[in-house]
Amino acid sequence: MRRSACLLALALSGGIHAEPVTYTFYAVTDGALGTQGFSESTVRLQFRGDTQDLVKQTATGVLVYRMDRGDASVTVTSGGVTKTARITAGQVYVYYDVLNALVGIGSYAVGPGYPLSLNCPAYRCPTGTAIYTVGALADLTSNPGDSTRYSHAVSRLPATLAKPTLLTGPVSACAVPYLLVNFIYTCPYAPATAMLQTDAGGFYLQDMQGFEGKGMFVVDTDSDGD
Amino acid sequence: MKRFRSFCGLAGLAIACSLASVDATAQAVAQSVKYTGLVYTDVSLGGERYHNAQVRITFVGSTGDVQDFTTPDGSVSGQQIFKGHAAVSIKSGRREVTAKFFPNQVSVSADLTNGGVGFGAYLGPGQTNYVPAYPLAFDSGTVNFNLGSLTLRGSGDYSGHAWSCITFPVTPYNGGNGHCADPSSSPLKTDKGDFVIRQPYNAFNPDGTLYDDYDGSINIGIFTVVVGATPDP
Repeated sequence: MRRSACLLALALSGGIHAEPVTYTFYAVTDGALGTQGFSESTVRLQFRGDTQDLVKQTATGVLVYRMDRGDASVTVTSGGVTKTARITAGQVYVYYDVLNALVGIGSYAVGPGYPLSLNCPAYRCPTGTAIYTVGALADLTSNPGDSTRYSHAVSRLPATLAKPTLLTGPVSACAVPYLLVNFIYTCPYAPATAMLQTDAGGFYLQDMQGFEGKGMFVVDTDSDGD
Repeated sequence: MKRFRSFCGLAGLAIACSLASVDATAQAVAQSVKYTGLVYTDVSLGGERYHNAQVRITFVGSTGDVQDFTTPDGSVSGQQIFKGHAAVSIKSGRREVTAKFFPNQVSVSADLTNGGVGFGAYLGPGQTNYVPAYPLAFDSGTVNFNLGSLTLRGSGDYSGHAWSCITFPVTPYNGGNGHCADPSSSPLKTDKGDFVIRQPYNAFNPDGTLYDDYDGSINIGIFTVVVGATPDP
């Protein structure tokens, strides 16, 4: 579904101070950049924008942060060799569904979970104590009384794309639904629609580690005073 | 899917490093090797504090100095390297600093039985107390998933739960007391002053102890091995 057609936009950057913001996503995963395929390599997706372009939306009570305007790049480091490419504009956006513990870089061609997201659905993150910060913040948002399950530092992490924060969780890097094969979730294939264009050629991700990859999504702003 | 919840993760290394039989014969042609751990966390260096900083700990050595070990009871085996140069780089906002660890403090080890890899250290008087998960170690995730192929002698990238815990393992079953000790009394020495790394993001059991030896830390990091890496100047 293209852009936010499925959402009811109720608020547009209300109360969000305008300042540069950088979203950086680190994962170890598989795919290709240009003519070079890579396996279990460190991938850094970065999206630079401004908080004034951050959109806060709700749909059936679910709060979603989203930023569509910005510059995105991908860096792949494999065996000590690093390759960086700029993702052609108008393909990807940043997305954070707090309650559903889904955050990452989404694409208009596929959706909010691809190319790269931290995704904590029930079958991967059972109810109870969350073992990632993205899941813990979802838990704390819906059940504030669960704060004893986590350290104070977790409770102090902002559940927003507007302020510096650190979200961790299981990595999803698959353009189609994972399949359960021999008790392992696998990404069956990367369809043609999953190919993103960069100044170094096509780019796609296809997780081959059955959801075992973990990642971190970092929000940095200019006012990050440490 | 490889997960070793019933085991103690890096716990075996503490035993291994004092009692292990070491096999240094399994060495092919030695090459330079660089180990890097990446995490976002709270640290202090030379009295400066950094919150949610990008922290990279590196160790540069030779694959020829990677040793195999097995604990005397044969229950845990793995690899370790003590000879090399370790450093830490911190980036936080506009602040960036790199410091070199003084020699003979930081090492790299991998518990290939239970699943765990990272930077350990010698702490305490005379630096006799080896701690396998401090300053930074990783378990669960693709560390465990790829345990069959993980080696300190070959290039690879791994993600997992990030631990900076002096008293790892933490579960009572594995000899822990459920908590990570305050690291501020055991700083690592660098050319930029004392270095302390913390583990701020944790999940607890109802009794207040850390969730377990894998998921008690809910922070994530990446561990990288690059064989043939150009040594840092």
